[in-house]
Amino acid sequence: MSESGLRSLLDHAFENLRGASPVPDALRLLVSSLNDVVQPLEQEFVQSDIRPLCLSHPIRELLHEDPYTRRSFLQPRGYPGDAELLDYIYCLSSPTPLDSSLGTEIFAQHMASFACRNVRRRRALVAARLDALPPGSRVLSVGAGHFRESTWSRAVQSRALEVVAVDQDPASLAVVDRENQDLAVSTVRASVLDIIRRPARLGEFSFIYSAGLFDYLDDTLAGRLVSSLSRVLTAGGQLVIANFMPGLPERGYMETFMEWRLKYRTGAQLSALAARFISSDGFWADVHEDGGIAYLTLSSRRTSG
Amino acid sequence: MISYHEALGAIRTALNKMKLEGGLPAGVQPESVGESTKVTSLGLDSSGVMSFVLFLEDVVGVELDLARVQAVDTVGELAGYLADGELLDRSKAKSADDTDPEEP
Repeated sequence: MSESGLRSLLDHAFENLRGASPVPDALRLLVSSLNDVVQPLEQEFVQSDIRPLCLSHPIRELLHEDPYTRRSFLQPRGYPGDAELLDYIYCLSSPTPLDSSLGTEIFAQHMASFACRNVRRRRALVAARLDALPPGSRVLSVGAGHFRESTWSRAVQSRALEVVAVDQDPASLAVVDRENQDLAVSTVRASVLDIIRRPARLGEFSFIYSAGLFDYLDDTLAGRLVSSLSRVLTAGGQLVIANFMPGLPERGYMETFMEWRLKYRTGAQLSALAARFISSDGFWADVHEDGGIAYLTLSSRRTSG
Repeated sequence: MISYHEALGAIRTALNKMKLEGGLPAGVQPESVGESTKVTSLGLDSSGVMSFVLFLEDVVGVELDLARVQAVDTVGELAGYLADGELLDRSKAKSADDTDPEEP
């Protein structure tokens, strides 16, 4: 699309949001049109050529009245997709009376989006995996954020599992500590590099998962993290990794107005990535794709004893 | 301990390895990287910087401080850190240069 074509698209969306059309329709059209523009393009090009045009258009001010879009864009924790932002998606946080009615309407529309629905579904799937573990299992949550799976997992709530939640953000870990203080949940502050370099410091686990971290890691980092985590799996243990897949309908909006860029991978790409960094003799891989998210499960072939 | 020139070579080697693994933006040519190259011009996002640190650690054989790597402005400064274990303190150098002799 030409520059003038993109401007025209944004002008039209701007008028729609200012009242020419109901907000849900206006936003749906904008998100879908932006995605048509962005999907065939490399992220570097979107960042250098598309994003500046979007952000210099007056529509930005309207869209940033939505606290979800605004928080993502401003990145108050210094990185995208922080746990407070996910709390919006999990309906644990919502617009305040200080937010405009337009911002609140935009927010509601986003919460019903494909991406947000499937982030909530991912939380439910992870909680179900936790509930399926044998009592007494040691669990490692990598990039735990606020560890919101906890409240949806009977096994965690009944102290049937011993969970270590790892994150690089102390503010997120403080929430985990505060909200799980009566449970068998402990926290460890560690960066991805810390885990890659010294995984053994975390101990050994029969179930390790990372639900929302690999979307931010390039292949080298992702592969090395898989390798390190696989070394602290007990015999017969499982490592589960989730990653958003290419084709996310909100990608255009996220990469322009939200400054939210993900590393998208299909299940096959996740599986191939793991195979480059760990031996297939030691693990077998199972891929499950659900709602635009790929889930890779690596199961240790080792048996105990 | 490696020399400054060995450190520059190590940086290019690490970038070459990254390039081979598809971890560098298409426009970045490791052989063109010199001491005055701005690290930001390598086009690495936060994940890319961490990967670069891992590649560089593989080459130089020591663990690097991510925060210090993130703080450098140019490839020359990074080489200085690798060679000396010390970064050039740009803020001090700049404030000394900027001092107005007329100011009381």
